Amino acid sequence: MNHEQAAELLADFAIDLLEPDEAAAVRAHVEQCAACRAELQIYVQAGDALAIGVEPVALAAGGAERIAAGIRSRISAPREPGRPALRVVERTQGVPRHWRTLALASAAAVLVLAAGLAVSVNGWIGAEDRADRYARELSARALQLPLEGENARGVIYVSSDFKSGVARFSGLPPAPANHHYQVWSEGPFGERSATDFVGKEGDLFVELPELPTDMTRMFVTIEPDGATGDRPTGPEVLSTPK
Amino acid sequence: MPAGRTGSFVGCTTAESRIDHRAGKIFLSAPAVSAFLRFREGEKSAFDAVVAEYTGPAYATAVQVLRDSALAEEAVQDAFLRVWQRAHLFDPTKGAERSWILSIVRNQAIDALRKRARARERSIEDTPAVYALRDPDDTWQAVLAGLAGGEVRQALGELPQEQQDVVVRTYYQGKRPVDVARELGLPEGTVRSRLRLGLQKLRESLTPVREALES
Repeated sequence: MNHEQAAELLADFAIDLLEPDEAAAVRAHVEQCAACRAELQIYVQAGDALAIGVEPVALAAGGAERIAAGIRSRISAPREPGRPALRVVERTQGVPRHWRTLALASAAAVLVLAAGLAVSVNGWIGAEDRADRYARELSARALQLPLEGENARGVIYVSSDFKSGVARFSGLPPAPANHHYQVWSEGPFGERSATDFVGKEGDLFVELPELPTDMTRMFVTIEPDGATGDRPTGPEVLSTPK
Repeated sequence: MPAGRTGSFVGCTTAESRIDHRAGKIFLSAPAVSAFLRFREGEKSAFDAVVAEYTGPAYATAVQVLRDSALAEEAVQDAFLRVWQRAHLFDPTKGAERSWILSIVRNQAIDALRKRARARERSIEDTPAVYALRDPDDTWQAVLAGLAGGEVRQALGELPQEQQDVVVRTYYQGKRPVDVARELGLPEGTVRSRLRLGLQKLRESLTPVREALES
């Protein structure tokens, strides 16, 4: 990369908008070019100021607690290079083997610290009695299973007895007219419906009152209203890692 | 300096402020050691205080990029994990901790945004490439320490509209100049030029504070 090319990209580089290979090329030039290095400081310092100038945004109710709980769970299960993003690290004794297998197969499976999750659940579910119930159910430990899709994502929090859970979705628009979403579990038994819902913009939390204990995967499809619900017929929009 | 700016910034109101702008005098005193610096030195229990202090601005930073509260919360959580893992890489001579932490949050949010759009995923394993090239500048750190968010937003608002627009789209929304150019129907070079000019003018608008510190 010559001087003119690097100079053109200095501001992008300063506020970290470049792809890694571009950034490496600019960096290599700036290390050798006093003029570019001096100019770079101006953009870096402007970026520092912009970081301070972020418009304050109020967190949703329970947001700070959810974030703190999520941080605690991530710190308790740190990522290792070359390993699944988050691994099961604590208190796996007592977790049924098939769940442990499913969790380890999931790119972001994690044993969630119970206290943190209980706080989170309190933040999600408005009805006090349901919040209390989930807090109790999840008070020992729970599995957290990611759901990935083309434009949406979700997490299934499995309760401590591995028989129920709560699903959290984001990026799922309302289901098309005359259709709904359906959550499925898959295992030796085939596919089994866990629940259905209509979807809405923003965060969505759905109870999963019964989960089979020997499932190997969970996924979400779009189903026509009136479908029997005994097997999936529509397209998959979310799935735990296969 | 843009018209209308006097160069006098409102007085700091936080107890730890070290700059008295009202009197035009600078009182340099030993600052209290922050929770983040205590954590960096090995006091793990200080991390809760770091999280408590920065969750608000971190969320604001992430939601500005992602425009989705759930994704923003996740990005903030991931960013704080990175702060936990990489605090030892922070060099106080190269920048303020606030800038360092919020740049990690912003990068995490941009990464999530691009991942969501199925664009090429950036590596965020390391601190930004530019970090190693920051020159130590104690005066600038003092400027930042005394700077309020409203002052920055005011300075940003006084940029020419076309520069302001590009700065907001690139910095606060994490968009690449090529994408901004497509959105605005402009040549990419024009967008980059506006970005450079906007950042330069923003930086210049803070010169009075710097000069007061250096005098």
